Amino acid sequence: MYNNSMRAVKIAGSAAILSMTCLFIASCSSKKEKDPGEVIVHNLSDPDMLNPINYQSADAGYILSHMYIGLLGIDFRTLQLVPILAESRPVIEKTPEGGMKITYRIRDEATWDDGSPITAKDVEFTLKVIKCPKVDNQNNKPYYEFIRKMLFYEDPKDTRKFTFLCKDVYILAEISSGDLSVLQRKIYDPKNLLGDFSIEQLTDSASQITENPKITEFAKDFNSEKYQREKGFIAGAGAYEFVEWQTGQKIVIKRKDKWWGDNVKNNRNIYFENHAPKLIYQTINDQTTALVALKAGNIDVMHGIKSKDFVELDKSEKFKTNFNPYSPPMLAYSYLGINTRLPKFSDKKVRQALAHLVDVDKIIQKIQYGLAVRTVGPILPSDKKEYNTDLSPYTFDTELAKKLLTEAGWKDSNGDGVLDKMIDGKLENFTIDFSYNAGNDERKAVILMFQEEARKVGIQVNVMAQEWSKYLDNQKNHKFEMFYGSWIHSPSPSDHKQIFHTESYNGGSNYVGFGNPSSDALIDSIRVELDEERRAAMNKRFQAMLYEEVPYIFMTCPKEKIAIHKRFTNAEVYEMRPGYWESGFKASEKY
Amino acid sequence: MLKYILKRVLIFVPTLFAISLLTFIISLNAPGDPVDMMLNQSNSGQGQSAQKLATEKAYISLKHKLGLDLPIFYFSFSNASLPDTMYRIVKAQHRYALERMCDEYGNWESISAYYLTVRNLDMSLYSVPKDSSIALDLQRSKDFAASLLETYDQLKTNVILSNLEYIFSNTPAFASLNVYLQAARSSYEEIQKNKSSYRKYIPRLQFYGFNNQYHNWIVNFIHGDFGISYQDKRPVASVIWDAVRWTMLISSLSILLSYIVSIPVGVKSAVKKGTRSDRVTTTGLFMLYSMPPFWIATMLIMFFCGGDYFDWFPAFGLGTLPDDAPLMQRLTDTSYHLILPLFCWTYTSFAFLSRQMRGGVLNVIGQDYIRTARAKGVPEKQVVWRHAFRNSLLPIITMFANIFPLVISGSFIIEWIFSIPGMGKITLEALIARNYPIVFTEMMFAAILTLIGTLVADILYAAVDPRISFSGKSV
Repeated sequence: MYNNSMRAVKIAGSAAILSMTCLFIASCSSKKEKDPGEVIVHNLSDPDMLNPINYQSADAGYILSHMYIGLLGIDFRTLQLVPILAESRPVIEKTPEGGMKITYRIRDEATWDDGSPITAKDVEFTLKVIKCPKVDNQNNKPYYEFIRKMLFYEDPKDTRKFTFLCKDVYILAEISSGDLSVLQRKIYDPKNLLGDFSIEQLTDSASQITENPKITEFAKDFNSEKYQREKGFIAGAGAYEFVEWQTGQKIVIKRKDKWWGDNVKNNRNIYFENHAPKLIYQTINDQTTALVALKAGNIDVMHGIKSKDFVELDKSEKFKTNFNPYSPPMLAYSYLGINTRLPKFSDKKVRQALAHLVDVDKIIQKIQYGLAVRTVGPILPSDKKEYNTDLSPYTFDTELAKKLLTEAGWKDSNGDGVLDKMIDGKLENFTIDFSYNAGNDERKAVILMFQEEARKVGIQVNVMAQEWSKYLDNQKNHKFEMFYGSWIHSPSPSDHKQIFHTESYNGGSNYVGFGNPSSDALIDSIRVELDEERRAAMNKRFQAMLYEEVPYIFMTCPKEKIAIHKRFTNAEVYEMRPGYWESGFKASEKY
Repeated sequence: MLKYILKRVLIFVPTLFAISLLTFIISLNAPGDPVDMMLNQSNSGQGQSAQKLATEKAYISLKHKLGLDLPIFYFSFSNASLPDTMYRIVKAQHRYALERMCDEYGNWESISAYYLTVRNLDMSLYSVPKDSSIALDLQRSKDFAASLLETYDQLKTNVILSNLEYIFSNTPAFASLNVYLQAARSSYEEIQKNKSSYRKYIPRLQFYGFNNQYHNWIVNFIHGDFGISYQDKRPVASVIWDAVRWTMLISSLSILLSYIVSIPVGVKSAVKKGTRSDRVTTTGLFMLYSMPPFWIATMLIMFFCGGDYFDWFPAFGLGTLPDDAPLMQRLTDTSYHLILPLFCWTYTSFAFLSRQMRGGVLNVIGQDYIRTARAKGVPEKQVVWRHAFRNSLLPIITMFANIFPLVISGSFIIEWIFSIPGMGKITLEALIARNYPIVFTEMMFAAILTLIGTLVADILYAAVDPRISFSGKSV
């Protein structure tokens, strides 16, 4: 017995040692060669799915953009719309009924992988999928509600030409209509279940056909896991095809041997530059780990590097020999939101005073490591056409803030060091509950700085960290006094309705309660103004309005922090997310 | 013994039921609405005039699709003023206001009539054609109507109603809507008139039958259908299976390793108590124990994974070979990737386990029968491993009970830092996103495994220590 248990322990012990040794030996043998042309891109987490209609995460969108293409795309270099599947940008006419007609023609070269041509019918099928009730794209459906009908061309017959009939005039109609990732019916609806329904039916009487068994069967299949992540069910007209997805680890897509886009002669643009034979999206959750992996040569492209790490990359020899850092400005801005409908903030002088208490330049220097640009409004300084350069940002000026507060009636009447004012018959101290999402240290630092400056003029700021979903909930229900937020833009024309229109107070994103009839009218007219010059002038007026009213204290437009391996000598970075076009990278022989 | 095991297994059923109920109730009361979360992952800016209707429609249809519009449980226990159909009001704020009104006035019939009139009023405002001359009034009215739906205070309601009446009387464009406003006003007065607040003192038990959220969930669970993950819309079983494979692999290896190392170390240091080697191992193990794994993990990665220092180990993941690579090659590749995470996962348990072992042996080794054995001339090794070791295993077995849930729960920190797609990561992400199907399923499995663990530990007690017996008579 003793011998047995003793031996068991000994055997187990040596087994453990042996297995560790094995692991070490293994470690020496598993370095392998890779094709220098391959690009390995870092992602912080897996995308939610690779279904081009139902996906929600931004990372999914970037990956899908190499496998699926739409009629139009936004050129990374110019931020202008350029044709991909379409021959050229569409012809847009206003109709007498107050709507629009958008006419496209698909390129003659365009074919699916099996050689069949891409036609107007494919676009129609895609639109039907988007509009199909029960398909899990509730967020996406409203973008296409404006298209009521499609017209085809029988005489003379042209299967590649079609027209969208829209009910309203809207500045985002062109980009929305051109943005849909065209799907092949053979793959997504092999039984032709949607064949019986028309676009008009799906638009106007969606609620009546919801329970139709064909709709139910199609939606169930389309929403299922196989169309999210299985080979054979992920295929589009783009230059790359799906290879594999190892959950939580990586997604691999590879260049098609024969892609129709290579034969295109006219109107080529960045979407036709696809040199990398393989693109690998490597998921590494932790930033620090990812940086080490970058230096070790396990990844070639990393974006979203933290500012602090980014400025310290200079110290690493390994990084400097192999990588180039880039910091293009991003299409986003951060702001401090003020609940303008609270009595204490209803006077715009108070809000202006608060704006004078934020030392934005110091924040950029000390907290954001210089990796941000100041902005005066929701339109970013990089948008040369529409950014209002006549407005100079609010200066950091405690004296001026004090003066404005006094004018607004805030005085320290009881001598307790905090400003007060009679509101609704009660003497109220000037306190501000300032919330941010817990765990965001940069925001916390900014608010602490503000707290200190506010204290000097007699405002007491309570810093409140809130769990993310509660933080969002409170904004939506207007249960906040001030909060630190940010918005991400797309390169499309600015529509301010969602954020600044009074109609968006209940249910929209006008959390701060900004707005008056004239701002609403301006927002509404910007939405339908198709002339770019006139729209720019109106946008400038809108910025001046926000500047005066200060519903937000506009802070900064951050810079993206990107590292790209030096062997890709033609790499460029752009403002548009994700900031690079990795499939266009060419590896030079030298590395 | 068999009878005992059977009895224990039977007790599992009510225990699991209680746990499932508790999980369910707690999660439903947590702040945050999963439907809101799903709809707002990306906020579209496209709403046209029908925007309000559309988003409410999307909310209701999604809620219906997920079955979240059903009553929560088989029955509810409340007072007689509350209607049995309150769960049908989907918006939480509206429901809260109505409940408060029921508490105050007790006459649900009039209250619901009032609610409907206010909703009609709210909707009717959205049909008014937009025109800059009335824009401000329209907007104010909309805000008032919306806040009316969330107000239960009498004074506030009256103020809002009179404000609306003031606006309506001064705006000819709203003339056609006056009927809605009057209806709201008169139905509100109706509530005051028919006040029957005594009803809230009458308790009432309300039965909902089998079509409720809890029933649907538990029945599906028993049938092995765990639902669809809210975040990525994949079946929960598939999500969990993808993750649990890795977690099980790593945690079983880690448990094995920690026992293999800790037991001999613990026994050794007990036997050599007070010597220099005992002190050195104790100090060493406690130093390891006190270093947080997230820090060690980051340090190891920074120094040994090809950053600016040594390139000995991979920094992340589980190996990059495709599924069709030879098994042996995949095995070595995976093990190579596992070395660092496994170490970080395991080292803290060395100190704890070996201290437990050491304590157990020390307890036993001073006892009479050990002295007797020594006096008989039994060799020291045999004394330790045969006589002392077996009897000192009890504390280790107690801890063994926790191993089962540990095997699937994973470690969020280690998984996060080394990018291992395991259970810890999934659990935390699901909790943050209010992804109930995943949270429920994991809780249930953890509960089942804990129960099994304690049962196994009890059986092991009997196996190790003859003095412990479950058959009722002494051996």
